[in-house]
Amino acid sequence: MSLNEILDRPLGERSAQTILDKIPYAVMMGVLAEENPGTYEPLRFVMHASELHMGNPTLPAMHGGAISGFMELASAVHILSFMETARYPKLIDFSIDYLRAARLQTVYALCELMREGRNLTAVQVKAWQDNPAKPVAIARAQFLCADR
Amino acid sequence: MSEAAKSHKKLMTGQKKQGHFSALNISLVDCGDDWAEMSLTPTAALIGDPSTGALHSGPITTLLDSALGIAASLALPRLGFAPTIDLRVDHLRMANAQEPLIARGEVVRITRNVLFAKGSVRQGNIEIAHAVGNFVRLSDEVLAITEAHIQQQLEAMDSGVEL
Repeated sequence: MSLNEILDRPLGERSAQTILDKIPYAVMMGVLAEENPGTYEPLRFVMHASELHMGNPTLPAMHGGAISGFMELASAVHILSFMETARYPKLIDFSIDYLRAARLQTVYALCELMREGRNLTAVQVKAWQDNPAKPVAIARAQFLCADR
Repeated sequence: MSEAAKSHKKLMTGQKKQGHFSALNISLVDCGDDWAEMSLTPTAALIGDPSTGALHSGPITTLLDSALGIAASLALPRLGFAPTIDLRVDHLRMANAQEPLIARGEVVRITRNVLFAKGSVRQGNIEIAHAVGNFVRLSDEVLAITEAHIQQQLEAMDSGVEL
């Protein structure tokens, strides 16, 4: 089934993971969705670290761009999981604050829809590694969610 | 070109590419005292929307973070790097997954603690995205350590030792 065929189905019949599986960049990055991960949130995203996420090899840290890419994917797939939009949302702008050095280990992301519009949709994202109270990055995004 | 810029260029182009640069086919094209140009050669693995074939925004952010960050590290008084504080990217157009992307980052101002940078990405003659980003200017003490480390790597490259 193609991505658009999945998105043509009603919300209840599409899962975040089946959407991620159809996005080549998400597959390459190894981004996974956890539904009802035992928190108050219904959906959480995970990226297990590997050598391909490494930034500067002199200090084994995750590349800031890998974290940003992960959070961009998470925010788009979060929209597709909770809004009746039938096409992959177009990112208008993305702003990220790096709060702590991210090590080469598993990173999690939670998204929050701040505005659901017919055209514009705003999302906030938080990413952390060991402790959700100590995020490695926070970001906000504005998306265009036209249906076709 | 300053000695620092030459050293950075040698380090970036002489070493075997690894990590996220290798995964995204990102290379340093050219650089100067406070600017850097980097390229990304797309592959099908970087597509975001398979129905249009458009490149995902993530690789574009990564390319800009890298170009602005390397420009910032070039503007430092010693060999080192400058961690990203924040980055804002405006996606002006969709990028295709066929032609290479070129990003240019430059430092706007350097203060005691912060480097302010800006840049943009082109695909052919078309501007795809632009960005502003701020970077940490590490203390001279920390930069002395990074400089020693980078010098070691450069010497190892000269003597042909695999790191």
